[in-house]
Amino acid sequence: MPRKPFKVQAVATLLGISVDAVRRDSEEAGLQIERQPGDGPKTRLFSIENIYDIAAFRAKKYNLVAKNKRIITVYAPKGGVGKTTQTSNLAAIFALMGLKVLVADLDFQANLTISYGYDPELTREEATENGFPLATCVDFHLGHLLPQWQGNSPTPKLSDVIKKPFGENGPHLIPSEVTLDRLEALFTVDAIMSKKPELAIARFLAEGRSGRNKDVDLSMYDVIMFDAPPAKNQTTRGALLASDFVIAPVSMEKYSTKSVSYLAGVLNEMEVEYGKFPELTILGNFFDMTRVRVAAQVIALTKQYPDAWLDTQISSSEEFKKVLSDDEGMPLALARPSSTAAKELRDVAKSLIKKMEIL
Amino acid sequence: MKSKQSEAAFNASLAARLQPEGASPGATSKMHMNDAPVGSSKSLDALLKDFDTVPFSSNASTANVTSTASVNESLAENGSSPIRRLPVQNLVDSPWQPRLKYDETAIQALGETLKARGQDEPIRVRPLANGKFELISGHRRTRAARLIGWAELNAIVSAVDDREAHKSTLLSNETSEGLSDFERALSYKALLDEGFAQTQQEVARLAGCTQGRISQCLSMLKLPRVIIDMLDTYPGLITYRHARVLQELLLKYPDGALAISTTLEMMIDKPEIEPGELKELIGKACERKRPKRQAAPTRIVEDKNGRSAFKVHSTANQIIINVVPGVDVDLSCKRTIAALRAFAETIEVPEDKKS
Repeated sequence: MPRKPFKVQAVATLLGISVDAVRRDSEEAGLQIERQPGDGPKTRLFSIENIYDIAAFRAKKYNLVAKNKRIITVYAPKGGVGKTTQTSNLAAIFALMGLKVLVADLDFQANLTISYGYDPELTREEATENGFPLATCVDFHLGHLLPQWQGNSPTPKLSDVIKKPFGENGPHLIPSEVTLDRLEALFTVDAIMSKKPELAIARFLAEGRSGRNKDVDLSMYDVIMFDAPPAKNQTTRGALLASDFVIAPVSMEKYSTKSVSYLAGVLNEMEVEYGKFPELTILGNFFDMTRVRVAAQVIALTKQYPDAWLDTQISSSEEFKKVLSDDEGMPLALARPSSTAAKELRDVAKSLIKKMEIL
Repeated sequence: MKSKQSEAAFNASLAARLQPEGASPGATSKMHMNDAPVGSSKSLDALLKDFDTVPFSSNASTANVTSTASVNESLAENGSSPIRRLPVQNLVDSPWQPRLKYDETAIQALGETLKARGQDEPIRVRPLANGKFELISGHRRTRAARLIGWAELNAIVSAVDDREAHKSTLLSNETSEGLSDFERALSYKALLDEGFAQTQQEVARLAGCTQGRISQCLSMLKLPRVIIDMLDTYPGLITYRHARVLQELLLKYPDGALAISTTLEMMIDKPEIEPGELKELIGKACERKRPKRQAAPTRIVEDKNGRSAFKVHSTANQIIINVVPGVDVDLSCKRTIAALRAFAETIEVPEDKKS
C-alpha cells in the first residue's frame, strides 16, 4: 500500500538524532533515497523502510548489542485500556532504537495486525480482484507454528508466517486472523488430557531462541512481544508464563485498576505452580495527573505495586483516534513523529528499555 | 481570646482535606487488591527443564507406576478380577492421608459429578485384617458417594504392606487435589521422614512439581508451635506466601508469635487477606504489644531444681501460662484452678451493671 514519505526532519525525530546525522548515515549506508519530483527543491523523501534501514545501519556502526534479550507480554484483563495501541507503537519504537523486534498478535480480532496495514479478512482472490498486493492477506498465525495445530494443516516455516510491514529491519509480525481462536479450543483439549497447554508457547520460544530448528529460528530477536487479548485464557497464560515482563496498561479508572489485581492473582498462581512468572510493569495510559480521579488511581496502584509503576506515562490524546481514521497502516509513533503522544511513547519506550535492562 | 491556627496545624488540616478527595473514591480503602509476587522468577529454560525432564504431571509420577505394578503382581497371585464393587460402609480412611480438612462444597460438587458421569476411575484400597478396606486413593470420592447415598464404589484391591500403602496414599493424585500448602508440607515432610525420598529434589520428582515448590511448602513447618497448632485446625488458613511474611516478622519481632496468632485468628473469617495486608496488620499489632510487654514481663516459675516449669504472662484481662514440656499439664491446671478458687473466696466481683 502507498505510504506517505518522510522528510529528513521527521526521520531525525524518529531516530532521535540530528538532521546532519540522518544525511551522513543514509549516505554511508548507501541507501537510495527518493527525491521530490518536479521543479522545486529536490528534498529527500524517506520511506519507512529507509528509516528502519538507517536504524539498523547505526546499530551495526555503533556496535549496539542487547544486554538481555527479553520476552514481553502486553496484557490486562480489562478491555479498552490501550494494549494493542501500546504494543503496536512500542514495537515500532524499539525497532527504531536498532533492536530486532518480533511482535505476535494473540487476539483473533487482529487489531495489531490491522494497525500495521494488513487486512486479515481479505482473501487471496479478493486481493487479486481488487489489485491489492498478496502480502496484504494473512495466511497464517501463531497457532500454525505450534504442535497443537498439527493435523489441521502442515506446519509452515516461520518465514512463511512472518510479515515485515516496514521492511527487513522494522518490527517483524506474527499476524492474526479470525481462526486463531481455535487455538484456544485445542489448548483446552490438551488441558483436559493434563498436557499442560500453558507450556506450549514457552516451548516454542525456547526452541526458537536456541536456533536448533532452522525453519523456526528466533535467535536473532532482541525483543519478542505478545499482544494478548483481554481474556483470561490458556493462550494468554501461555504467553505470560513464557515472558520476562508483563506490561499492564491501565486507563486510570477503578475497573482498570482492579484488573491489575486480577493480573497479580494470575501471577501469584504462576509463582506457586511453576516458580516462573513475568515481572509486573504498570503503564499509565490516558494519563492526566491534574484530575483527582487519576491521582486516586495512581495512589492506589503505587501503594500496592510500588516497584511495578512505570514513571513515564501516556496522556489522553485525540491523535490516536485520528491516526486510526486516516488509516495509514502505521502506528501513531511512526505516522505523527512530532506529536506529543509520539514523544511520550518514545519516553515510555526508553524507560521500559532501562527497566528491563535490554540496553 | 481567639487563637490563630499555627502553620503546622493548618498544613495538617490541609492534608485532612485532601485525604477524602484524593483517596476516597473507593480506590485505596475499600477495594481489595492482590499483591504481586515478590520472589524471583526462574528462567524460561529452567522452567522447561523442570517440566520436560521430570514426569509430566503427577498422573505419571513414579509412585503410581510402581504401585500399579505391585497391584498387578498381587492380582496375578490370587487371580481375582481387577475391579471389585465394595460397600461404602466398609471403607476406612488411611492413617497416612495428609488432608486435614475436606472442603464440603468441593465434596458436594464431586458428588454431583459422580451422579452425572458415574465413577470414571476405581478407588484404590487394601484389605485389612478386620474385613474392612483401607483407602489408598479415593478419600474424597468415598465421602462424595456417602453424601449422594451410593452404597458401593468400584475399587482396585491390592494387598500392599504399610510402607507401600503409606507412600501411595501420600502421592495419590486425588490426595493432592486442593490440598493446602500446609497439608502439602506435612505430606512432603512425611515422604522425607519415612525415607521415601532422600532429598527435596526427589520429593519433587515423586510429587510431580518443582523443587522450589517443595521448599516453599516445607518452610512453613518452621513457624512457631502456636501457629502450627492453628494450622493443624485450619490447614488452609495461610499460604506459603503468608508464611514467608510471618517468618520475616518473627525476625523483626522475636517474641511476636502470640501477636501473630491473634491476628491470624482474624483470617479464619476473612481468608482473603493478602500477605502484604497481613504484614501491615501484624506489624501494627506487634508495635502495640511491645510497650505493654515491657510493663508486664514474663514471669518464670521454677521447679525445686531451679529449672523453669511455667512461664506466666498477663495482659489486661488474661493470664497465660505456658507449661514447659515434661510437666503434667492436667495436674498443673487442676492446681491452678484450686489456687484461683482459694483466692476467689477472698474477693467479691462487682455486680454486673446490666442485670
